[in-house]
Amino acid sequence: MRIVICIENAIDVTQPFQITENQKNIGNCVNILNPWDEFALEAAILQKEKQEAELIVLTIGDEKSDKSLRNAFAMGCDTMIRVDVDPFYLNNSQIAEILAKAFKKVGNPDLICFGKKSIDFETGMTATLVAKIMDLPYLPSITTIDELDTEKIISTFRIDQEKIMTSVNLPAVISVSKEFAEPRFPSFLGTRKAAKTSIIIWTLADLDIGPKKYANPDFNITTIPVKNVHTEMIRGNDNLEIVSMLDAKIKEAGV
Amino acid sequence: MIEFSTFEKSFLFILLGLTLYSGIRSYKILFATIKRGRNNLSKITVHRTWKVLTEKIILLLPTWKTRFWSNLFHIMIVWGFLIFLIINIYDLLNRFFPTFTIPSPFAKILFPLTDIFSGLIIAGVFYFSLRRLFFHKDLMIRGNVKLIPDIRKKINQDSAIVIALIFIHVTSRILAESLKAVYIPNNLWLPITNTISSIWIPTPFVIFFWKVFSWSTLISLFLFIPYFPYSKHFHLMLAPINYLLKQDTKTLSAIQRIDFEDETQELFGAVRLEELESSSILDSYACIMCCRCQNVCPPYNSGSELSPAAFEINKRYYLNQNFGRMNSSSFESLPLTEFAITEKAVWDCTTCGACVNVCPVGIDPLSDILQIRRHLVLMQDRYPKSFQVLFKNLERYANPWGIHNIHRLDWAAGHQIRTVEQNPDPDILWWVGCAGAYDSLAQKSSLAFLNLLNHAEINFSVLGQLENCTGDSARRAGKEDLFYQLATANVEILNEINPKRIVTSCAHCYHVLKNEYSDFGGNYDVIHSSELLLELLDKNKLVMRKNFNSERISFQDPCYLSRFNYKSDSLYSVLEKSNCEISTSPFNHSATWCCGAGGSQIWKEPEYSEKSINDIRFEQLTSVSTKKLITACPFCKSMLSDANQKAEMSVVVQDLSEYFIENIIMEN
Repeated sequence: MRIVICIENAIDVTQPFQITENQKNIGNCVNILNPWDEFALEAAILQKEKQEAELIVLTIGDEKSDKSLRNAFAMGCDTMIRVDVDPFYLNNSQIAEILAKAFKKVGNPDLICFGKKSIDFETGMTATLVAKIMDLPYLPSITTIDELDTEKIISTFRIDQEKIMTSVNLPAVISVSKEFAEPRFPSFLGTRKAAKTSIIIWTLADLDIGPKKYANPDFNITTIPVKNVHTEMIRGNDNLEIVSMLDAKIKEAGV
Repeated sequence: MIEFSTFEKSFLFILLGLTLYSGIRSYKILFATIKRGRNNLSKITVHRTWKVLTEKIILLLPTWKTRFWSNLFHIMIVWGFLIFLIINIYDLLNRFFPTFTIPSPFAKILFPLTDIFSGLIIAGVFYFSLRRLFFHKDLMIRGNVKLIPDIRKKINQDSAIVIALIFIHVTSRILAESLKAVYIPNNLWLPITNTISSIWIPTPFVIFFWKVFSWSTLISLFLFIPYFPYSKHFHLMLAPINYLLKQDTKTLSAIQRIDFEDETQELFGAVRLEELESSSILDSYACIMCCRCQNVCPPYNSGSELSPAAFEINKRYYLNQNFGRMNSSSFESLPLTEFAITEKAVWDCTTCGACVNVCPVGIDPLSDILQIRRHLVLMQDRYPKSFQVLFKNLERYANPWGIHNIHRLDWAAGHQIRTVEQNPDPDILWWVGCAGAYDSLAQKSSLAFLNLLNHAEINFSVLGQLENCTGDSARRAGKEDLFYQLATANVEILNEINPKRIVTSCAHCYHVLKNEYSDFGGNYDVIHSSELLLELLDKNKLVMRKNFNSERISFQDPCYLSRFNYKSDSLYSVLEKSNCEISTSPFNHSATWCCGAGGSQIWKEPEYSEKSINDIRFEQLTSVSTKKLITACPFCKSMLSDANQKAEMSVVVQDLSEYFIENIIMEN
């Protein structure tokens, strides 16, 4: 079985970063393997532990992404592929289009895994768009893989408090929720091996995509204004009292 | 004539030859087995030999920490054995050459000593056989601990054989000598021999029985020599050798650095006997199976599967079972985790060093456990799940809390504090530590220490955002590559700053900065906050209140200060300045009891079947009515505060700095 895990070299928004003065780029930032993608990696590695599987980790990015690729490899992947394009100015559709072409070049993967979203721009659209372009079934935010064989995948995902178990035929696209399992820390021997393993690099030309197809779009980057949130804990002797106090507060605030 | 016939002498000669052959063969195998380990044995020097001879063999200093009566009987046997070493050579020569004698002045000392010690050895053997074989003392290892099957039976068999051989050897010799005295009266003071001799009536049977007892003396000796390497009593020879060949280290159980730059290195840590250091294999032969280590092991006493004693015993019996195979380089032993110690036990160790400290024969099970942890983590990627978060936090944020470094000084907001960038030439660089910066309980201690430093007008700086975790938690959890990464980064920063002195309130930071960074090119003058407090009090830079109420306190010696670095004197000297009454726990100074946080245990859920280590320690410290529990390490404070809360007691748990700031005159 061939499983491709798509990762992003994301901006670590928990660390300081700066938006450039022209509001066109982000500077002085630290890039990390998108933590949401670690859940996808963990899901794939767990499958490899259960059955024979080849794990290919793939990303779009420049050489700054190599560190994230190597981290993913050290967790337990077999091959690293990087599509050599700076994805910063690409929109989700464009990224999905490149990925779809890359997955085809990989050679008919049985399962394509994504993290639920990225920690920097948090769109969570790529997996859906890839599934659409490739005309593949898509299972979003799965919490477990209940069964996986060469024909089908049965997995569970959650909508609100409801757990839904679905089966789809392979090949399929999945995105993995953080409820799946705590991602493993890259192993020491894996890290050593990753440092010595070469990354396969594809250009857009390798994917039959013309270089001028993706012109830099014009956009400005801004941060979401900080909200002034006032919190108050409502306490009472019983639920009825708490609810009536809450009701009064809501009315008082004019919501 | 009371001597051996030519036939007997020839027979004795053959027996002696066979014994020596089998003995030499066994010892060759043994030393080849020891040499299979990674060579870390020290060179033997005259000074070292003299030290071992006086301190470890004659005075048996390391044994006196516990079990007084056992040690008293033990020392009789040891001294007796040393005397018998000489007298057996004399006896052998005398059997071959009956006219051989010892010069009179020497004989006047040697023979009476032999006589007295024969009695003392028999008394000692009697005491230990009662203790071991009838009262089954010492070898009480709980059922949940991994032990090679039938080990108790095997050890008892071994004890019975050795006790029998010693008893036969010593009593036979006394009886033979007493019978000899019937025919050849001596004018020496031999109270036991001569008293027994007075019973015998001179008949031809005397010679017959002299021969019987002489032969039983010799045969018991000849049986003992080749049996010796299989017996736990081999410690008699291997314990001094263990001390002789053990490397001198800066502190207890020093950890070896791994050179990650060396790309040829394929093996990290150890999981098989031959992957351990030679001294670790030697340890197994030196073990006396007394279980002192187990008695002071906090995890074992909390119901854990970990028993350092069982680990060493299992190692030894595996070596016995594979004697003659282990010495061959083609033989691959079983992983230690399959026969000597469970993985769970490996991860339960608090690395407190109590086992190493108490061992009377210098065994270091802790370094083996840390080697196994390294192997599990680096080679097999196996470790407790909760360490995933620890490793991630350490790698991404350089602290176990996973909080960004920009928040390193949040605890000191609004207080007078300068970083090295603001004050690049401080007299003292204060290493606050991750706990001191991020843990709410430890932050209180940091604030107290900050106020004390400011009050004493000390020119100090902190590293602020430049400070990373020392890596102690990573190293003790076996994640040496992460430790390497943190240590290298810290040493680079510190060497650039080139601090005159470093002070820290954390016992673990203190140990790593002082003792472990030198392997990375970082040699610093490191002191603990207690030492600085003592200095400031002595110089009157800090003055105690006169109306200070002396109160009863309990003090928790942090393992990494009082045991690993022998710093308890300065800790108690500071406490004494406050005129407080310190209630004593049986486990104090270097014999302190771990709080349960060490060895990265604080980052993993305790899974002991009985009481938690911190609850046990809290009970020990509060067994005598006490209002305050003082410690000198943020991790001890955290663990004991938890226990205090759980016990619903109103004891105040404080760091030394918090305790002192309440009692220092702060007005100028």
